[in-house]
Amino acid sequence: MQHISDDFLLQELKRRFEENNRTIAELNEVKEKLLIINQKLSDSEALKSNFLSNIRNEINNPLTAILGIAQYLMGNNKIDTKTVSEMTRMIYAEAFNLDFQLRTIFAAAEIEAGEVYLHISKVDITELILRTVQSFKHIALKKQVEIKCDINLPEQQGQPFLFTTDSEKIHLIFSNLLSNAIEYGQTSDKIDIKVRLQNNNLCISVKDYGIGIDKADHEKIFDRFVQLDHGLTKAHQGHGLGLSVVKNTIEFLEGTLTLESEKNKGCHFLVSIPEAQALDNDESFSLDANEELF
Amino acid sequence: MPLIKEHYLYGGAIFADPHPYIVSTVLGSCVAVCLYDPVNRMGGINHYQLDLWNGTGLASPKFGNIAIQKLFEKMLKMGSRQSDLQAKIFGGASVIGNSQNLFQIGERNCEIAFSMLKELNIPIIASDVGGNHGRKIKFNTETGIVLMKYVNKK
Repeated sequence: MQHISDDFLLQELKRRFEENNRTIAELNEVKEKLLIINQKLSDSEALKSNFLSNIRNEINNPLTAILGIAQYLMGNNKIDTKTVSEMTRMIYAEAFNLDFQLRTIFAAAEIEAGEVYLHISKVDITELILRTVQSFKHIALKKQVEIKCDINLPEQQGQPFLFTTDSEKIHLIFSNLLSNAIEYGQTSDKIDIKVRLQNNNLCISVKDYGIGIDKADHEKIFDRFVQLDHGLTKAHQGHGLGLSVVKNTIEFLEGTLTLESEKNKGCHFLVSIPEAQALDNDESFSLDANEELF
Repeated sequence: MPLIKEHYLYGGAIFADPHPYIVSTVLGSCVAVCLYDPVNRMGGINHYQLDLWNGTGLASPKFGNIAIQKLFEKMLKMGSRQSDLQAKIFGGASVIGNSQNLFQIGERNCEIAFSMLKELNIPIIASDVGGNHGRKIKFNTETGIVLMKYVNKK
């Protein structure tokens, strides 16, 4: 048997103890991280199961209003045109809201199911932005907010500017940002929209001058089902899906979303989206050495 | 010969269809798991960017643990039996110039695929993972054959 000196033995023992301690420390660190993630996951699941009761108001209230007004109109054949047109406007506003909420909910469901497909085409951005702003005009009017649109895109020989992207996705992103700006910017009286082309990226900026978001909450607002004010005292409409859908949709288009905001200093969302590449679908594999079969 | 339909798979999406398709996708540090059912001659594929969902944002299939589970469920829903399924794994490169490189995201993306498929008892009959090159793959969902070549993208 090999003789081992006491010194060597002690050193070896010390080394092994240190190694053990290090491993334990590392394990503890991992355990702590796991605990945090576990908490987050169960929070998220709890929020999800509350979802149905959360969106109850969002879906039920407009629907009840639509049914009520329509019923009134049906049962009364002696209403003057002015009242009819006023009530039709109310039905439209409620149905518009319902449609908008449902679109966002379905978009979230599609993203979570992995069923997002891009439909790339040449899109007239100016028309899309103006049309979306126009469709939100009635809400802005009600909240007494003025939407200022500043679109400056290069014209192509008198033709409207066309950008290769998915028009429905851009609409989803922009309408959610705009709706948020109207909802949370109402302490002031205007919203600034700026659309530019920078380094071949489409940049859409939506700026409101309302309640703003505390720096500490900047990450949180992109989580699903999260609204910073919640519970019975909740002052704002919505289901807390909008911004998580916006963020994920922008990622699909390989763009970025930047948020500048502080409490009580308004919100500035800046979206930057690169032009989509035409898919090289029909590029078949050449029979070079590089190719392999599995 | 009838033309086979084509589909381009984006990151964070899943594609599974009982009809024959050629599904193509481009992978850097992302990983794609192809599941093939030789009995019903159909398949499905995912393409995820990160390994684990940590509870922030949407629980979307851009995370491996969600993408693999959802793809597996889709195959069962289409009528596959778990014991018939075969898997092929591609991607997970550590592409130079990618800042995510630091966290060995490619490696972690592969690990989750191997461990989850083992847990699901699905044999991995082929894989080409790691390395420094991106990959472009074309998966024929009818035959289960995957054509792959290295690219310098992503």
